[in-house]
Amino acid sequence: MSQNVIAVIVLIAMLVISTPLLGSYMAKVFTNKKAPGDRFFKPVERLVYRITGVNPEGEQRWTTYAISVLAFSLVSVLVLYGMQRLQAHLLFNPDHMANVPAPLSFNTAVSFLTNTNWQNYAGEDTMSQFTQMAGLAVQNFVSAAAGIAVAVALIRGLTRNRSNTLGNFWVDLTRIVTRVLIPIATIAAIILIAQGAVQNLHATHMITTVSGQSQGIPGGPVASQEVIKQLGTNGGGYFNANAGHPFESPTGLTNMLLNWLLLCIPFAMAWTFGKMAKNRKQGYAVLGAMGGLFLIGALVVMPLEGAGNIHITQANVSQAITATSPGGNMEGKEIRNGPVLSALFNSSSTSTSTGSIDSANDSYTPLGGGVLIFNMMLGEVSPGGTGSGLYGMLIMALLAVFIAGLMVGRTPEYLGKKIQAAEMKLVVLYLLMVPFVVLMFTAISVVMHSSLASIYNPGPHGLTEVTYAFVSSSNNNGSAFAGLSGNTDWYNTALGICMLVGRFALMVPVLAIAGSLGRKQKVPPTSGTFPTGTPLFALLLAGIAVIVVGLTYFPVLALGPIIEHLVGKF
Amino acid sequence: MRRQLLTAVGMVVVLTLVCGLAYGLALTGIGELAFGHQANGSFVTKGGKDVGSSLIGQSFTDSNGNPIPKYFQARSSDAVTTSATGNITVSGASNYGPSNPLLIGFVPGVNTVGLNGDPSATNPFASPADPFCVPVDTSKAAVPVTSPTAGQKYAKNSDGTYVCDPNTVPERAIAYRTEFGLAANAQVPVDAVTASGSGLDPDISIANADIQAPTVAKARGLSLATVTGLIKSNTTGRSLGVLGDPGVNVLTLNIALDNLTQK
Repeated sequence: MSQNVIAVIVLIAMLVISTPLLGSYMAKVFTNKKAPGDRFFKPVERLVYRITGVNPEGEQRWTTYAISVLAFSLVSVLVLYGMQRLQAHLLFNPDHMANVPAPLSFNTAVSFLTNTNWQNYAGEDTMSQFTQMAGLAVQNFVSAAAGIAVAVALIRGLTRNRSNTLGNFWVDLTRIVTRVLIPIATIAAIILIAQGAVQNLHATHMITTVSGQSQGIPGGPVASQEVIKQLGTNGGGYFNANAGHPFESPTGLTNMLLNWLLLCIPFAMAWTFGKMAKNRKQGYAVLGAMGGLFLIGALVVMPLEGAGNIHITQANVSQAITATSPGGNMEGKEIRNGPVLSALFNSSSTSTSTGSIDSANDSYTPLGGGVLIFNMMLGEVSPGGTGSGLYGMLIMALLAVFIAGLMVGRTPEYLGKKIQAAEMKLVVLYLLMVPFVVLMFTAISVVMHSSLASIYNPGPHGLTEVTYAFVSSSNNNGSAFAGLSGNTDWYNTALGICMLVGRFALMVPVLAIAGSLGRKQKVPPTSGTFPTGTPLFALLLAGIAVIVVGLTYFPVLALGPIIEHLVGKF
Repeated sequence: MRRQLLTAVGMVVVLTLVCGLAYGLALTGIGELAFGHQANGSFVTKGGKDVGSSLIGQSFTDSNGNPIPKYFQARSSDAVTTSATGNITVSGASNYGPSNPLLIGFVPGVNTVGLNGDPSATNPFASPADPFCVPVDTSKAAVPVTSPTAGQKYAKNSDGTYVCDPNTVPERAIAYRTEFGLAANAQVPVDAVTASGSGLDPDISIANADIQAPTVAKARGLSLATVTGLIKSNTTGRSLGVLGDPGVNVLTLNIALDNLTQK
């Protein structure tokens, strides 16, 4: 157990070091001032702008910015769809994968476009190496970058004074990809390969095992995709078992590295926010709320999985954690990761919008699985996805100052911007959109005979499986309680709609809020201003996030994981 | 709008070339040059032939699926290999919930059902050997029956007890004790009776290997000390001393044993 305590401290220490370094660096990348590496990156960027006809000096209004995001997404989804439909005729297909069927191609294209990475397929027998590398991995980069760009636009709206523009989406996109994502991903991928993750273009190598059976050892550009899937909080595994597959994450070291990768940008974004707002305390408050919620989730699920499944102790199965046995709830978990750090990984992955897993969510203890679903229900703000975590939390901050304002009769202001009816309507739209689609589609799914057939485990666990699927897709997380056969027409379509709503029906209101706030004049703080750079505000922010979720989802949580815990005598 | 669409097309093309092909292929090149063994799959050889990857678990059973006594046994696997996938193994877990009878058996007071399908406080399929028995039907495939109904027929042993689904944790524990000569109520390490997330876990716990060692030593005519020595040399400790759990690599251990006996 003590090793696990040290391991958690190691992860926290890595984050404490990376957050200010990466946060400050990103602030420079987004403000177009001098940034490290200009000598190398500037010519590359100029080349990209020339080919694509972008004027890097031309700033965009919120509407143009939003249209650029949508246009880029539209082209992306069409290319990705086409690539899957034609993969049998394209390059790098040594295992002769057939073209992907239309409904599955649609679901997968939408899923990777929206940074969800819900997977209704197993990578091993569905996707060619070309589709993985030039299709899915590319969306891992650019969907992450698009999320960050929207968050940066919101920061600009909050921090600029009487400005009609929010920056240029194409410039932001290019700079994030070249200056942030590719360099970190490259270094991390090399470490992964050194540890044993595969990176090649070979066909499956058929061998005869020691006991004389035949076994296929897969090849593929795995390490390069693995790191960006974590760094970009995407989560779609090269293989079906995701980061539980030894070729994706071969050692305890890579498990921890991948865990850090998925947290580093979301936390650093809060630092970037403080830096760009020229008020570090504002960043600290957001960081505090994110970090507090993250730690609570992780610290609840880790001991639950370490304690194991109470129902097999009667069968004389030893689940004690000792020097020679991992112990704990080992169904669906790997020895090299151990039950406690597996729980940390999956908790991190559901707290960010990643959704990658190194162990099977479905076999978690009821409350352990309940925490994973709760992490997502928070709306992916603890610390959330790359970019989407920060803009989600800033929307919560607007709600928090509004509620605080109502309680004490102060004018709601955030960073000197008055929060008025126009913004609050958009905030409410943002907050209601996801719960609406989650609860509506869950309700329909549990009354329709055909969709009930997809449920794999009986009783309240089955309700959790369905709810999990809709919460995961609507919050663009993409992890699964895999015991639900999602590859049916109903789920392919319904989950596809949820993913689109969870992405674009949130991004557009965020940009609209950014545009509206950007035009406003900054007012100096008065004695009537509620201070937002304080620990008290961080607490309020976290509290508001929990209360909003609690009121929305408590009934379905009670009927799913909570009742399973109570009835199952866990 | 049209201008944004044109830019979008250009951007998607450029970024596909950069983030897709250039990035992926450059790393493939770096991997090949700097870490060729790992990048290609960490293959291990025996007698000059590739017999597996040290990172990918394999089973050490005979053609009937029974454990071969001279080999250490890997963890259970739910990875699927069928001819439909062209013999490609699709990694994966059981995805059984923690109170699913297919995982934990019928545990009284948790998920037990009477013969007529009504909830029941006891397990009607229990026998002294396995109180948590989940029965199977009489078909050739012996499909486990988790929702009994009034007219259901069950496979029975010659002594009149029910045939149990062999893949539940309690049944795996019974089989493990029989295989390695443990007492009927001996504690079994959890990794020995659960399936891994990938179905490809290359490791078993040290406790699990230590229990298996006497059986393997006997089958090979080796001293127990020789076998435990090999367990030690095929154990990977925690990464950096703190990350994850130590594991015994079943494939490299079994190859080391084979090499020893063949000399």
